[in-house]
Amino acid sequence: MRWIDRFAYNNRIRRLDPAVKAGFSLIMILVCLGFDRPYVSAAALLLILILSVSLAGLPLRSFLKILAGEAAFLILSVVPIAVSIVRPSAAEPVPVFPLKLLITRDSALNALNLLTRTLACISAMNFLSMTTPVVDLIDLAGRPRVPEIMIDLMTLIYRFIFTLFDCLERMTAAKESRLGFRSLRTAFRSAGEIAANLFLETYRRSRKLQVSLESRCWDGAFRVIPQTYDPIRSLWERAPSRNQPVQNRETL
Amino acid sequence: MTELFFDDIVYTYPGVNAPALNGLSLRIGSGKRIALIGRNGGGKSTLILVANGIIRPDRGTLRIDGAPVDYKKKGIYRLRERVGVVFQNPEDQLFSANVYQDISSGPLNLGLSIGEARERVEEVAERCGLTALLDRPTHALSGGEKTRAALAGILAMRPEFLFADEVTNALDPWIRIQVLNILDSWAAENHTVVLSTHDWDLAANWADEIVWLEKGKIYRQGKPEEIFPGGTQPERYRRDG
Repeated sequence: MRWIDRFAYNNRIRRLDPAVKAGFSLIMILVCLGFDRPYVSAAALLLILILSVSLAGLPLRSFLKILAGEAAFLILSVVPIAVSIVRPSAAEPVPVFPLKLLITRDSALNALNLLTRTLACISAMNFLSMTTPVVDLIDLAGRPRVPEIMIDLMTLIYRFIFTLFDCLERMTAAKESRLGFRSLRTAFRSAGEIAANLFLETYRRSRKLQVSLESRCWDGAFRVIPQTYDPIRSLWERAPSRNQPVQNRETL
Repeated sequence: MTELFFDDIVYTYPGVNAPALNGLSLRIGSGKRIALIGRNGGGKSTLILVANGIIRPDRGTLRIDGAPVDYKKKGIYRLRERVGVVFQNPEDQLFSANVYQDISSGPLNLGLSIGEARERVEEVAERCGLTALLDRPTHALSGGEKTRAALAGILAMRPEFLFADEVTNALDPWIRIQVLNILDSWAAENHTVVLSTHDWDLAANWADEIVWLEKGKIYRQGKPEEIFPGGTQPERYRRDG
């Protein structure tokens, strides 16, 4: 998650209005679902890939690495669609292995279609998440008047996921330093203790956060200044050079 | 003259026998740098929570400019507009996804317009050396940056009384100097800064006045040279208060 967050804050179209990026991703998804042809999905996938690398300046290798992880799950899911198990007919002599695996042209095409379509849709979402920080997405969610409570929850969850990760890392390191994962039995016990402590720590932090918010005149609503963004025309007015390095990659 | 007066304050935490504040009376005038010192459990943090209206005393009165604090919603907001608190752990204070939005929260809670809030955010960001970090997600800040961001979030509300609860703990010497410079610049504008600390050297060198709390009461109060006549080595002073 931190990896994706780093890309989201350090790409060439970081300042572009998230509505434009979300709109592009949505259009790509609708095209893939609407046309339902493998070559359309493959073309969409290619377009997203080209824009991610040339326009946003995302490293191709990283983009493909993330996509490969997702593709691994997808492939496992489409294999049962491509492959059917058939029993031999009564006329045939009884074989040693009584079941046969069968791949028909239709089933293979169906699986390929599903795979390319899903990959293209996922890569459209990857494009959005790797070029748009969560703070911008939360800001975007506020525009169509999503209930305030939802926006506040999204803000807090995003903020405290990282705090929780840090806390978990510290607790795990503390347990490891005392040989807490030496055997399976101690590992189970340590994991249980960490989970219990993490729960208590979360509760303690939430109480402290409430106190600090109240000290800043909080009355139940999180009020923050909305973000400002570059309009879509900034893409051609200040077209970034292909060779321009992505700024501040190491700042996060 | 602006004054915050803790008048015979008593407060006991639920489930605890000994009071955290036990008949404490303290006047805090404007434009001073005050160091709060004392052992753990001496009542420093509780005093700060009382000052901000987070804790309502069991007995005694908190007065601001002579008038008792009204603990109804509007009265509490009025108190918090004037008394700001920076807590020990900045991690517990930064709730927004990025620094800019987090600092803007306080001014917007005060009812300022977005334009006015922007001005305040930019002003305190410059004061706290955060201008280049405004776009940074709060979870990606270093410890020192988080402390400065938390401080900026309170300064943006322009409190007349700023209470800082052990904010210099766990900071490297350079960041600590930065934080103290921010507190000094705020005090120089005729605001009062109350810094709670365990660092006696810091208290002696930084503060105009030191308030030493023990067992929920003022043990000693005065100028640094009056509090530490023989230097700041703890061995020179009674441990039991």
